[in-house]
Amino acid sequence: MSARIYNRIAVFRAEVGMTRKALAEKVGVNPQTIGFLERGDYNPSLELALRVSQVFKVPVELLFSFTPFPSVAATLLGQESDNALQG
Amino acid sequence: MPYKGDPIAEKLDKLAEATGMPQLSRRLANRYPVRFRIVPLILLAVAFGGLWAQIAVSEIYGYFVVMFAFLGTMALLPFSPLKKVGRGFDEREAALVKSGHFIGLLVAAGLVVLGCVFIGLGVVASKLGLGHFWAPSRVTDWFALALLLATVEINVAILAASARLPSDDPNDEDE
Repeated sequence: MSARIYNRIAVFRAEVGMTRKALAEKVGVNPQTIGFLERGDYNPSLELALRVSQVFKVPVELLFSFTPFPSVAATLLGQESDNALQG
Repeated sequence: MPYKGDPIAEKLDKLAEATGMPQLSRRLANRYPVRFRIVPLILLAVAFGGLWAQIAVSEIYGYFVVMFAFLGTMALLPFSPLKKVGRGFDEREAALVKSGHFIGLLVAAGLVVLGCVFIGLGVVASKLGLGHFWAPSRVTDWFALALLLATVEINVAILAASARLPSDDPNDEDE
């Protein structure tokens, strides 16, 4: 019973310009573990997931999901079409 | 990462950094573990070969062969995913170690149960005059069996942990 958990840690990390090592130090794990998390090779414990979301100051469901996250391009395109409809 | 603050401590820290040992220690602590496949299998084969020698050939050489396999296993351990030099495990590494040792202990326990059954049957068969079957009786027999079980447990744990470890270090991809 181990469902795949998708995450967008890499996107959030890139946005704030944080290295894996820096994030690892903040949440108290080995930098390799951040790499495993980002690649989906390891499902984090609830504690680690909460710690990571705390670092980025976002709710945990914005970082982790059972379904794949839409790409940044798809999200931006969706926003643009929404704006066009509203405008 | 030299210490800053007290000038004497700073100089001592710089001196320590100049020896290269702190860098080596950091590298060992952050290295990607080796995924062993062949070496544990060879060590297991050597250990079982040693037990065979203990039973069939000599009362002491077999024990030394099993001990050689055990010492080889202990030398392998620090490079495997089961051991870290210089720091503790995080939750992912701890989970890997626990699951590896669980499988290792399961296999060792299975060997103990099967071994006891077969040795017991062998003793009964020997008493009934159906042939001569080996059973541990000397000190070296028991030590050889103990080292064999330890070698099996650790090597199976190394194989199980290595199999669950992705082939490449994710941190090599970028940064």
